Amino acid sequence: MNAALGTGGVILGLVASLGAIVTVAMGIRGDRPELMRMSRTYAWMVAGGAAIAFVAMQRALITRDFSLEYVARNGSTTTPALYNFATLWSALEGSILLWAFILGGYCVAVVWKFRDRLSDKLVAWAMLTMFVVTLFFFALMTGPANPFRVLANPPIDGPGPNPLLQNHPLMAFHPPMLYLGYVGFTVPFAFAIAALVTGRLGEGWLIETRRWTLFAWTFLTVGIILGAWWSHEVLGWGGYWAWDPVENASLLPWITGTAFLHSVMVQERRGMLRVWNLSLVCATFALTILGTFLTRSGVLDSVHAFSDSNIGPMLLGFFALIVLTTVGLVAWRGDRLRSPARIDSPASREGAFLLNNIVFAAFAFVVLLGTVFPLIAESLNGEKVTVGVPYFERMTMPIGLVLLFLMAVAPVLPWRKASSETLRTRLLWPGWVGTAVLVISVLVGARGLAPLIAFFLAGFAAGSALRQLVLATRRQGLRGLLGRTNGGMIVHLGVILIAVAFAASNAYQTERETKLCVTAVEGCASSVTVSGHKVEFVGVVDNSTNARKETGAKLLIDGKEFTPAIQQFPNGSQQIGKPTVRNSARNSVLIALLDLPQGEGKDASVRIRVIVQPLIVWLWIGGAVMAFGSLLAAFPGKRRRPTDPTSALPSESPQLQPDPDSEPESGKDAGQDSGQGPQSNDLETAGAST
Amino acid sequence: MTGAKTGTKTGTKSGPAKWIAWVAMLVVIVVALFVGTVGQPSPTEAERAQNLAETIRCPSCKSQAVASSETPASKAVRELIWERIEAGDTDEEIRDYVASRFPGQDLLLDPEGSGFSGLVWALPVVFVIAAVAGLVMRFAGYRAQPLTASQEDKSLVDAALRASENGEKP
Repeated sequence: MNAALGTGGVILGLVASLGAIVTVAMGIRGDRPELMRMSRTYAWMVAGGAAIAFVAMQRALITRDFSLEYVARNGSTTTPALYNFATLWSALEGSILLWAFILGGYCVAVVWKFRDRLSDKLVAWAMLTMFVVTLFFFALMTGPANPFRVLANPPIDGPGPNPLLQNHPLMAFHPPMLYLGYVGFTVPFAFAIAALVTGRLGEGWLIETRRWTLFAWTFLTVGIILGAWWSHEVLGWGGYWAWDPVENASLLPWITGTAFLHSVMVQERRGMLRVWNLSLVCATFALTILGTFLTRSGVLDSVHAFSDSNIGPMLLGFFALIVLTTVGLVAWRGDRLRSPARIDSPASREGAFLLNNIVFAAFAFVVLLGTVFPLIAESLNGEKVTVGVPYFERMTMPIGLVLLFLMAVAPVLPWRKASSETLRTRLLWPGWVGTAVLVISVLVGARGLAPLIAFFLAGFAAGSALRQLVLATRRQGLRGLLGRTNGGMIVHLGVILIAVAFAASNAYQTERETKLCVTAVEGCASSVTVSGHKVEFVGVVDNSTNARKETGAKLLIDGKEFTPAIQQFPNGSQQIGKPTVRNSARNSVLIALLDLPQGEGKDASVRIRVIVQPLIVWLWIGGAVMAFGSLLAAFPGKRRRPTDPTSALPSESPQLQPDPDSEPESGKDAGQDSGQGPQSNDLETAGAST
Repeated sequence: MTGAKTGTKTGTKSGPAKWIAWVAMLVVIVVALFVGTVGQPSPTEAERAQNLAETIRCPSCKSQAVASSETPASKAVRELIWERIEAGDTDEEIRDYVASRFPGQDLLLDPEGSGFSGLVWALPVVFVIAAVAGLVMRFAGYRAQPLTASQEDKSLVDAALRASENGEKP
């Protein structure tokens, strides 16, 4: 029943995608608006098919229908409800199903948002592109990643999901967030392809998809931070980012997406960097597919390799198709992508954005190279090379410092050209903020060149961001926080918090392994003090449920009770540690059990690892601040919509409104700001003409 | 340095006086960095062991460092590191020694700087240099040629103007 329902949903999605491609293509070819408008119906069918499959799988998991191979391999009768729900994305087939489900949702969102312009060729081509992507994912589900394969002899119970995936509730939220991000980049990609095909390469398509990109980027950010949080709480090594291929695969589209969100402003404002922006959009989408290939095909070794399959060739082929299509289209449209404007001075907002893009490109290059280098070395040279954390840390540290510096300087730069006078006056207070942070860091005992430089630059950048926010709120009140420029500054503050936490927790971590006894005896104390935090062993507790065995050690950390434990799930002999973390604004105390507690009652003893790291909480707060900032950035600021026509009568000219970006104290910026170029309203006019 | 003629807010000051605040800031920064970096104790043996363990891969895992793995092989490597530290070896000697104890396994997490694996270090540097050079050349190119509308550009504008006067779409 579940299998039939699910397979039906997948087939509905597949057929609807195919039908949509044919219909929309015919509509575009024959210039028939009624056919192009049918993409609305098809989008609902695709989403409906994916939803039916999703519900069927959830139903199978909830009713423990072990006749489905997926449930038999990943489900179990004892998995608690939340983790049972999350089992849908705990292995390959289910992840593809989640992907298709979210993609269906995005399709419906796009046809709803553009409901009045579905017969506009730009939108029609974008829908066509999206349906090609849905076709691919539904084809995966009918072929190598079929979630609804049926077993002839169903077992009575299954092993349940990987133990690491069912001992922390974050696992229910991290993957969907990440996928909302990954999949969301399909929309800007589809519009980029549509712009290339139709040749309507003005700024219209960019502006229409800007918020979609921001939306996807925000979810990806939140997904990545939740993943880091999960590893910190679950893995018990004090780490939150291991430069593991799976993590790198999620970071790569984030890097190119971040680069795009910055350089898109140069194109909107000055009409420049058109090829570059198109490439970034397409690269971001292509990297989500490449990342899926790298992590799901098993070509790379990884601690995250929860699944292997023969899905590799299809993903690699799809990746190649995306890259070749993009490169071919850009080459074909090269003449129309020629930019009319140019950069007057490197010391300008657009100059800073260019530098930002070089640094982000280098960042992406390092992460990609480090991830695939073992593969390259092995296939080209037969050499076994491991590229691990030390490589990534050494290479990305300077990149991070340069980015902090740019975050400090770029926000105060005017467009076109900055004088040294502008820089001198505008950067003075941010500079003092940075200096104050540096002095305070030294006074509280922070040592070492790299972390101190990081703290100084972080303070400098925070000063710059705060300066912008203060100016904006002074002018417009709290309303000034809305809009991209100032929402972006709040995102910067979040990034700065994370950078500081990164530098501090890496540089000043204290780690101690020791044995504790309930009653202190010779050579075994009952408590230990690490970096001023007292840890006292009180006793052994048994917290087993019928889903798992769990033996915990009751500890008092600074007088507060915590119970790190070791879990054993019925499906494996593997023992899984369940560490505890005591967080405070200053530092975090993480305690993991090294092995099962010995003895009972007053004679019990346990070996523990205590890790004290400063400012860990700032990572998670920084993530929340970033999400909040992007939310503010999604609201329209006071700037006119750039796609609105500007050649109206002077009396109603929106250009006469003050530009929120120009600053009252500097009259000479105002003139510079008016020199912007793009007047492209091709989307509006073409839409209205149909 | 544009001199005294600029400045809408602080325009009364002139010449080097404008930069006094910045010079003061620089002095504070240099002093703070000096205090924060000079005279640090050299790392303890435990810190050295931890740092080394973070650059060596656990022999029986895929990409985890021995510092963060509890497998018997990792414990053995950590013991080995301790032995060599107590024997007075330098960090580099210890890494070479550990690598030689597990031939053909490539236990070092940061690839060597020489040979084929040196590429992984060199390529990003080449990438950045090429990108910056390309950007500099673009800027130089902008400076060299003044921006004037070509005949082709003008005819395009004329066509577009005519079209919009006639109420057509572009």
